[in-house]
Amino acid sequence: MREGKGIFSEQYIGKSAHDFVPDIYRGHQDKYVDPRNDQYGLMKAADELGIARPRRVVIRAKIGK
Amino acid sequence: MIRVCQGHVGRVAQGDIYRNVPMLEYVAQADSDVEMSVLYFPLVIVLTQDCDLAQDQRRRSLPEGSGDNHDKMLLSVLVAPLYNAEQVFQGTHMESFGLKMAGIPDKYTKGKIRANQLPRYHYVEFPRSVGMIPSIIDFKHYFPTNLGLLVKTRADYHVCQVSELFREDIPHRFASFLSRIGLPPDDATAPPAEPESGSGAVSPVGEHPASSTK
Repeated sequence: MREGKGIFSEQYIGKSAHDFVPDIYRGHQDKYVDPRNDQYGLMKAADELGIARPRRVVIRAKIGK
Repeated sequence: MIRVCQGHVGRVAQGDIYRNVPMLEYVAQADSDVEMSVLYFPLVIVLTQDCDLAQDQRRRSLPEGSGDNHDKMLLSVLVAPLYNAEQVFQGTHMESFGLKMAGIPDKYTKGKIRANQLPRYHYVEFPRSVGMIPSIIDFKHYFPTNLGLLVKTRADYHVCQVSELFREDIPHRFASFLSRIGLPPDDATAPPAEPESGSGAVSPVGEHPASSTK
């Protein structure tokens, strides 16, 4: 996805999935989405359409007394 | 194409499809630092037997303190991720974990997967009304998840339930795949055993090389 493949691009999600992308997101199809700065909720939209890939989230914390 | 029902039966049921389900990969602690890795799967399907889920629900719905025991309560629910079929064919569906899977480029094998004739995979094509893309379940990937979590997130994350017969077909094929027997390769096709350095001894078949050293 980092190589210029947007989260809604046909290159990234495949042709059959691309057919499911609503028009509202077509304008974003060539843009890389940084999950930390996802101001339009595009990652969430991709999740809801079932076209997102699985992802790993690592949580680091300090525990005190 | 499978059939689905978009309502739910008021409890977690076999064949339910949920969105955004976490799998705890590991928790590591060193002094006061804690690190936790969680894998989020966009879509999963519930494989646990429906009668077990129904009995669990019946027991949980009893008032606190009633009932003889908690024998029918489940500790977890077995689920399997659904992957975008085209990404599975390309071998890129686990790319975000840094894993490159074997793609399925040839039409013949793709056709066999679409017809559910390869034991490892289950191809699912949803009716257009569900708004979900063709997906594949890889029976090598499955994990237990917390039942309470699915109950709590059902209103937001429940997508649909695979209808009868279609939903029984999935755990049936899964169980059959899981219970396959891996036979050792024929001597003719087995790779030549490498002698241990120095001693020239070959570890017996089925024994770990480290366990045969004295």
